[in-house]
Amino acid sequence: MKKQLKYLLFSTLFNITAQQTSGVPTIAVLDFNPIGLSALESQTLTQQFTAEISNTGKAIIVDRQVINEILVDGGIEASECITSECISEVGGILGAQLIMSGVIEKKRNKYTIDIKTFEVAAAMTPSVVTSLVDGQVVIRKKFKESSMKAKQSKNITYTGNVDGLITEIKILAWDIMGLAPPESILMKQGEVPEIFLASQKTRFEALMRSTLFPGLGQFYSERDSWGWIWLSSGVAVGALAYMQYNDYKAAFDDYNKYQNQYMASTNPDIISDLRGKAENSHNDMVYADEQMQTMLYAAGGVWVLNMLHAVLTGPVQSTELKNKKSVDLVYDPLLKQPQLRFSIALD
Amino acid sequence: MPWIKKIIPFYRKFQYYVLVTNVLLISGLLLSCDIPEETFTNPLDIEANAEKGITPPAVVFFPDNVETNLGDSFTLEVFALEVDSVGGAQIEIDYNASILSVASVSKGSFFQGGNDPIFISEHDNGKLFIYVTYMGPDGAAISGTGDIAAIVFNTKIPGETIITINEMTVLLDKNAIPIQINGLGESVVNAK
Repeated sequence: MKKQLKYLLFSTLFNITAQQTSGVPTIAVLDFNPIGLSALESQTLTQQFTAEISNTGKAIIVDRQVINEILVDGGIEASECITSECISEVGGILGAQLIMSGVIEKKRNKYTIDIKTFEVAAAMTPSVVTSLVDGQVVIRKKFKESSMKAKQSKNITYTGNVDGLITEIKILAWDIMGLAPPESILMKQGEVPEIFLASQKTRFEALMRSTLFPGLGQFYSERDSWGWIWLSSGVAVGALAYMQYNDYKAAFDDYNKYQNQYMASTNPDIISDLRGKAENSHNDMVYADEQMQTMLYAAGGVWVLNMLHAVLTGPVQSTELKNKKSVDLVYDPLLKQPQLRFSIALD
Repeated sequence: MPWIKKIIPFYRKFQYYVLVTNVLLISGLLLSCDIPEETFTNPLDIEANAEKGITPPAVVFFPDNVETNLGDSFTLEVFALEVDSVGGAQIEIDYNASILSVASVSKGSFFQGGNDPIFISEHDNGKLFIYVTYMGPDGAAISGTGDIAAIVFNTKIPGETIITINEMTVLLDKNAIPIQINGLGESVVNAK
């Protein structure tokens, strides 16, 4: 194991030395010291930052695995390596020209990131020292005294969700490298993610609209097809009910007219005729009323079902989110490890 | 739909009111319309009379129910219902003389044609008698349904009373032989 580690170290240092000759600085980014976040979250955000530094094309990034192994070998906790002594020691071992170390703090949804850049290349060249101890020659590797001071310090404060924080971190990476961020990143700055917009719509609001009229809640929930279905169903059944009501009203008027004529008549033949007409009108009235009741029940049913549909389905999520499984097994190229992600919609 | 955006603030303000209103509206929708009860009470309606146990031939009042005000007068017609070959009639009517008084009695249109029929009426202390008979050629007779007489009553005091055609009433054929009467009518008067 130690042989392997030494081989790895040797090859890495060899690569770094070779890269330094290309004129592009070699940068080692240490994990941000997390305050109010977990170590894993801090590592992920550090990786996002490191990846973006690499994307600038103006730096060679020391492999994270190498950094971690060196830190482990030296018994150093990466996130705790914030003193100049620690940083100088690590930088010296890695042979990096620049070391970036930072602190990331979270208070509710407010994030503060403070990143310092240290120049260590010249100051931390290791030297070999020989001394006589108890009559024996002892050879030791010794670093020069640390004279490191932060070359650059940048900090940002961001309030919002994590998606926006990552964009801010990417912009910070470009800023630290003294470059203007690309348009694609700047476009994302201040952009409210779709999921955030979707979460502004609530089931209750959808219910309220569907209570006002069938389909309105579905339109609100961006389920337009359902909205039209409920709206047209409600209107159609309502129109049928209204037609039956008109039939009922006509039959009711006829019945009253024939009834009055019947009561006033003294001619038995006419009485019999009017009675027949009044009875027919009454039957028509009862039929129209039954039909109207059926239609009104249907309208009420459509209304209630539309309300239930609105509250049960709720506002539509973004297509991306909707199509996502709640459990995903993915490979994170930044962390270089598989991840099992489990998500639950809280609305 | 911009019009929705305009009403949303208003709607938010009154959303609970709207919710309750709509629940009531939906409940209201589920209620049925008013269906009046079928009432066929014309006293000259054969079917209606049959339901009341009056079958032709009969002598009835029209109308059989009167709503009037104190001091007002009203007219009751005496009808022969589905009679056959009637040459004369003796009709006896009972009424509450403390509530009603007879203002006039006039001949109806039933006994028409040929010679004018003899028509006599007299009333006294709650009883009204009407005599009508054909004096036509060959002892004429008439069939069918028609009004024998029209009586105008006055109301004296408020109250409800029933005017009845009593059992002494007879219909006669052209030979003065009584015809079987199956039903005698009455009229309810409510004087307010």
